[in-house]
Amino acid sequence: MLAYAGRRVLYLVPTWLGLSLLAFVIGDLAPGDPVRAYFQRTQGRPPTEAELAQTRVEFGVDGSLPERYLDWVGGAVQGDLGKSFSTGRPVLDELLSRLPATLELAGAAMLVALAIAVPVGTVAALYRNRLADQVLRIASLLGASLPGFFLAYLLIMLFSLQLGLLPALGYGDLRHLIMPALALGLAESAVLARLMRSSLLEVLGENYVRTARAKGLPEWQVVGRHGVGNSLNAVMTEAALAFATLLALSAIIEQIFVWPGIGRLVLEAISQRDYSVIQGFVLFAGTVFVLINLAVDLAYRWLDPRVTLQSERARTAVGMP
Amino acid sequence: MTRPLLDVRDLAVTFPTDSGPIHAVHRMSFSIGSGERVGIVGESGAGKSVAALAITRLLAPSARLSGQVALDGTDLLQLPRSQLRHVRGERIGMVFQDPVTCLSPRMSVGDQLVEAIRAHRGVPRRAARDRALDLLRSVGIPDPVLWAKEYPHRLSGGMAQRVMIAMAISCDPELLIADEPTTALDVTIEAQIIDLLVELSEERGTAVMLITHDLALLARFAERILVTYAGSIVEQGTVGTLYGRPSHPYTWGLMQSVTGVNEQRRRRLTAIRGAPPSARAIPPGCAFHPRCPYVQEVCRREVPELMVHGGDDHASACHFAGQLARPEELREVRP
Repeated sequence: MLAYAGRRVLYLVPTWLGLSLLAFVIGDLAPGDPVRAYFQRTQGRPPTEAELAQTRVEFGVDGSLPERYLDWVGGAVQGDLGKSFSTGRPVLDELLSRLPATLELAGAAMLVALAIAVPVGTVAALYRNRLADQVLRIASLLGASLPGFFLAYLLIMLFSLQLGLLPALGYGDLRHLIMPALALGLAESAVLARLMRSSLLEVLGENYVRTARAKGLPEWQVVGRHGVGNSLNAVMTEAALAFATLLALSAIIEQIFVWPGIGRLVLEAISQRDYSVIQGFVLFAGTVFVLINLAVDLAYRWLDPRVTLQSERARTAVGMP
Repeated sequence: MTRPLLDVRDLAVTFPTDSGPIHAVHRMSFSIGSGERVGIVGESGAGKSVAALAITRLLAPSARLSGQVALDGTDLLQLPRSQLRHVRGERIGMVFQDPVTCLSPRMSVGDQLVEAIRAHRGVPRRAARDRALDLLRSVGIPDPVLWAKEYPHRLSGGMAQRVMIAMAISCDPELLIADEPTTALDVTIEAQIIDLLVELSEERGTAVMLITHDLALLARFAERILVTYAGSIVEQGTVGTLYGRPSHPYTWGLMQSVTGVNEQRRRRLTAIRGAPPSARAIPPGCAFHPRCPYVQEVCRREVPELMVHGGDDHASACHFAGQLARPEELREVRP
């Protein structure tokens, strides 16, 4: 297990370097000169050549492309992603200050997705190829293909404009969270529900489910404890991987609901050509994605008793303690 | 005669498929007395496992069942689903082949036993746990406290089957159905498991129905043997009569293909020629006729009834039961 984890962490290094190179080059090669624009905006006049060079040094973007990259990556490793061209504050601070709101939204969306997917997938499996299954199949297809922003506007129209139950935008208490979480989580719930259905169908065909029936357990215990309980593994793995995608997808939803998260920060940065924030975000999001993947993979091996057994056997087979 | 514990009459099981129905069990009738040990033997595909699962209605919902399965006079095939669970585990315990996969992978062995006990007995968790440990001890698991905490994948096949047996007898059922419980286990473990079944049956007075493809195995287990072929019973009798005077050509074939360790003289080990028929296309007349060395015209046309023709209810479904001369080499051989 430890050797495996070590190997996996080692693989991260080249992946991460490639990611950082891509993030940096994309931002750096983009048209326009953010330094000049920054000076213009803050001082109200175009800079002289000397002032321009001076500001470049201030932002740490002087020197050749390789130099600038190495400088940036070196800083990134130590938690320094440069300064924002629009606010002048450190990029990492900007990202971290917006992170909690995004995590809250993505977390709530994932809860929504699971809360819908597990029961829906279970019902679909139990009524396989019958009416309930067909209806849920169509609903899932709809849910998966509806764009999140469209759903968001539908929700706003219904709950804010028609019923006046929920605030249409803003950040605050639970009532603010409901619609963004639904808009973001619903599409994911459709995917997870299909997975739950196929996973449960497979488990229900297992010998131990027959044993549970032969023992005389009530059917709800057979399905709930031995069926659903053993199907969640696949669903939780997928959910963890999907969480990283939700973080990235949240930008549009954040924009619609004026949610002060990372996604909105990046959209603002794009409109203002704040390349250092964009670069920082790409690297940050990519790092989170890779780390979640790693954590899922390790947790999967850690939690499944059968997998640990195999590694133990392998260890004893090669004479390790 | 007193009423048998289990009385199966004209049981038939059909699976509808896109390419026509599959007749897995074909009018099977037999009974099992209280405390009796009965062996059901036949090649794979003879319908013996399907029949076993049909008794407790554990087959897929698509299976069509007909006939009667009377447990102490109650027809299980007519029982509402809600009542069925009070038969399963409580009055009929079941043990299957491939025991490790029959145990739930993420629940400890002890918890699975407790679950089985508490499904039928309203006892507190602690009492159920004590009983679970007693059960593990009674099926020969050393150090039950330790093993109860283990997960199924840590168990060997033999251990897992002992756990399955402990679970099957946890509510003192009147009947234990063991479906090929020792297939895929080592021969030494196989003997231990069979001996354990005999011991439990004698101690607790539990009737046991053992399904196997191994005729020799039944010699150390059964009091009565049913021989199945193509979804029907072709011969039945006590161990003594069946081994001593087998009267169906298929049973002769089975016996000739069995090896004995202490055989007095060398004999030729023969296989039954041909293959068992597909359950999609059972031959007309006697289902065994295409493979029978003694086949006559009537065998191709008429289905022979299972008829008693000897003492101890010795019955055979052959048009020429009792008339054919047994092959010479079978006269002295007992598997």
